[in-house]
Amino acid sequence: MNILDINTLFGAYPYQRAESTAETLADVLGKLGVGHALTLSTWGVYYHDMAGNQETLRATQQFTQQLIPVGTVNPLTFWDSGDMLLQLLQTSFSILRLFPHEQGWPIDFEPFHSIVKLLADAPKPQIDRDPTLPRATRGWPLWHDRGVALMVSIDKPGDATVLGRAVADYPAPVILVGTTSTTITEVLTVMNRYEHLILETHRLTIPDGLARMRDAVGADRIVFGSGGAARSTRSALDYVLNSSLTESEQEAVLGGNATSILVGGR
Amino acid sequence: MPFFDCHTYLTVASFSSSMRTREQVLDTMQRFDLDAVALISGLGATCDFSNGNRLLREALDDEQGLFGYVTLNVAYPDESLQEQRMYMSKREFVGGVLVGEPGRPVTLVHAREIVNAQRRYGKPILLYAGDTAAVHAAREIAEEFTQIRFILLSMGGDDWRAAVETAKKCLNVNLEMSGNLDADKITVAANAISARRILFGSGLPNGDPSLYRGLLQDSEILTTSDRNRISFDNALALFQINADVE
Repeated sequence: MNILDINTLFGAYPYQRAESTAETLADVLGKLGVGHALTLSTWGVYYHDMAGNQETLRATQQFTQQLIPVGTVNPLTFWDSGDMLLQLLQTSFSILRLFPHEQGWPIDFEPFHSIVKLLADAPKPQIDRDPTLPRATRGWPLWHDRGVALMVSIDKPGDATVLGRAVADYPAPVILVGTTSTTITEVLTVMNRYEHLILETHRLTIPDGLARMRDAVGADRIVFGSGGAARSTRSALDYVLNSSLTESEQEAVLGGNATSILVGGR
Repeated sequence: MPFFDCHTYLTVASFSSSMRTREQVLDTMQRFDLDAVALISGLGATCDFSNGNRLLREALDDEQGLFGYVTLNVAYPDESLQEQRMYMSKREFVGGVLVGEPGRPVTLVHAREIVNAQRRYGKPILLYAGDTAAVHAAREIAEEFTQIRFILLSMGGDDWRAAVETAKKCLNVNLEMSGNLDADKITVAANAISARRILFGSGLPNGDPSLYRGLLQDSEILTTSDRNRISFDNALALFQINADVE
């Protein structure tokens, strides 16, 4: 099974001690048979987005067979960096991740709306696509054929509703990261309304919750994420493997769906 | 009048690239007529204290007036003790700055081990004190460790009177003057604790030193000697730096 963990971070956290270097992450992935992970440096979350992007590229270069770099931008400091962001996304990253909760900005936030519009309107690069991930990892970046996919953290009730409205017309997939037992009903309701929204799994704890989500929105709209290396990759992986999803559904959740998002074809 | 800016950052900042490298910091010092600065690593304070300290050290040069603080993170007590051992005895590092979870004050219970270890270095510790809660948390720390000098960064923010009260009761507390720009702030503080325990600071690159220079000039009760103390001499004395920096 080709497993792709769509949600990992490496680097230091300001508030907790965690063994979470890029080396640790690569090691954990290897031990658990996770072939690839989307990842970025915590510098981009807590310090500065562009400094973090540079650190992400530097660190992932040592693990090109495993770690796929994710770009980030902080709307709190986004002013005249649109061209730089687009260039980074077109040359180095395949997906853009945003952290409203961690950085303290509301999702209904004009700079965030500006970023979404910028990306929605950006010219799509002409790239010779190959639908297999190993090829894709050698040829980053590969935008989804409708634009760069987004990953956005949600934390509390109301976040998914506001996010759904903010990206209603966004042409590419948008992955909601951090759905919990508290927000799952809202997330599924919003996903029913906006078909390009995707659910990530790392904070799900409801027993057999994945089967319920499959029934509600389809297994092809669920992607595996662990929150590793700081969070347990094994427990997140077991949550999927021990679910009552069929084998083919598990394969889709653990890697197939994410691959489709990254290389297009959804 | 010479100026030692005790509250500056080596960092990437929006709308400003003025403090990202040593060369940019030196240019900025020249632009604002600063004779010396003490830098906090922006990377260290917000995210990665160990790499922040390492990169900061590379930028420091005491002969050019570039001093720094060792970032110590209360979430990493063992590693912070190691950072203290590695850097605190070096003369370009003039103290430590305690950080923890962003947006929350560092508390005594979390800081105790690191602060206790700081006693052997004889250098002050900076505490973020941008609001009332942070001032109270800082006061608890200062009251337990009376033999260590503490600097309250931003002197309480809008609640600077609480910071002044704390400094009045805790003789080991100094106030760094950035933050709120109330015209009477420095006058009230100087009357309460004397000009000897107030330090000039701006928060560069997020604060403009001109603002705080103006605040200092505004305080009519200060003598020329008092102003010199706040702008420069207090920092030299607290950081035990030879006056040839000037």
